[in-house]
Amino acid sequence: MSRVEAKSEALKELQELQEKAGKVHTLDVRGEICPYPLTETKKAMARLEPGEVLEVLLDYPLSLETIPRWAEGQGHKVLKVEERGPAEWRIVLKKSGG
Amino acid sequence: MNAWAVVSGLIVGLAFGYALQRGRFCVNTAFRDVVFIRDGTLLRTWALAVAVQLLGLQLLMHTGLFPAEPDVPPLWPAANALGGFVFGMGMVLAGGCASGTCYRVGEGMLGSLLALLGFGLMTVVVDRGALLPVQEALRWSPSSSSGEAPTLAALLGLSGGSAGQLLLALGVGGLVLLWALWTGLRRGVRAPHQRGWPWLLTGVALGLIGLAAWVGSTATGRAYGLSITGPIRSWFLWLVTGDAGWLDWGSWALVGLIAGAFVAARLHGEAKLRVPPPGRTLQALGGGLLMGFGAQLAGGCNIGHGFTGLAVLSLGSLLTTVMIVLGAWTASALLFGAPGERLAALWERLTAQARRLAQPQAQTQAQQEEGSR
Repeated sequence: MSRVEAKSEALKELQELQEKAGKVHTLDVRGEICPYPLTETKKAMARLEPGEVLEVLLDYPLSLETIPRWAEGQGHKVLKVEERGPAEWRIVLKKSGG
Repeated sequence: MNAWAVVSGLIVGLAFGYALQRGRFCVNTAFRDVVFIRDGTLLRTWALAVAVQLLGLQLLMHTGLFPAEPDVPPLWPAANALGGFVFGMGMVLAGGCASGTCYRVGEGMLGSLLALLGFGLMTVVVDRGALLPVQEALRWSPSSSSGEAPTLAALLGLSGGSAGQLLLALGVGGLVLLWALWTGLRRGVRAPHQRGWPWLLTGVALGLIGLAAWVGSTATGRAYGLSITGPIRSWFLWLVTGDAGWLDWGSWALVGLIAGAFVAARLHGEAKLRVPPPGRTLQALGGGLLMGFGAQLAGGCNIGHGFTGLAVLSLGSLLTTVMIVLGAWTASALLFGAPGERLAALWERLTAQARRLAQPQAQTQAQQEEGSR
């Protein structure tokens, strides 16, 4: 195993541990278009405790703009907007406070 | 078929689809976001596009550079109002307006494809099928004594081509332009996590493409700009009758739109076939059918009325646009807003009540059965 692979393995493990501990919540809205990616994100964020992290998996380009814009307007932190595969993205949000 | 109509329609359509996809331009989202998440970015984009096209067209007309008298959509108060409202509700269900649905077909959204097919089917059903009586009953025009086309200028007693009419158009267009720029530039042009075009670029580009459509289309004898409802209907009519006479400049612009959106999405790694969850496919089809019904009745959708018709200050287009907004807000409130949540809670209470009422009855019935045994 190369160093890079080992590192990404370790990161994955860490992420899994965090998920188990309930720190990272996942919302999968792949296949959904307007306005569901945003409305589901709003609902999911409302259920989180301050400081908790939500990752949103999506494949709808318009929400890629509106979700971060909405989150920042609400004072949440946009930790990451990244490509996960062909026409698939991941937005990581941290709930404000905490 | 006029070769110029095919070529210029395709070119303008390609540019239109490219800009729609990069700008993520959707009037459905624009009208909804401004109320439900208090974000006016897409509304500003739309306003900017409308203003650029309106100012450009009026200046071209008054300097004599525009080749003909533009067509003004007729005013049918009942059909515009009901059609616009139903279209507005339909686009919320379908997850996109007419232009939004078309560009998402280019991105590979199969739910949007279903909505588009429902849209097209319904335009033909209302225009010459089972629902023609509805269209015939609702499409009446108020009598006009002046013989002027039904525009805002005519309503105010200004005749077409007069200085007063130009001033009115420049005033309206200028105000909308100023509002969009003033509110937009204070917030900045580019958002931090943006992948697509900023609103300023999208708005100006769409306005100029709308203007190019007026010029290109009028040169082929169709004195109108971009539209979607008529072109979708033309393809369905051609498919079922085999008569190529239905196809015109707009038909080719529609093909260009979907192709342009595909090119834009493909170049940026955003094209892929995507399937919505099962229930959502039915919702998209239902939304598409409502959109087709409404747009056909009103004589246009958020593009034919809500973009192009506004450039000639058509009263029918203004009325339809207002009703599209009201329809979209109503459907959004019912589906996603507080009124919808209250309705859902009420439904929950009623069904719980019904269950409680039904339960003792079921028990006594069971006891009776027990006793009779």
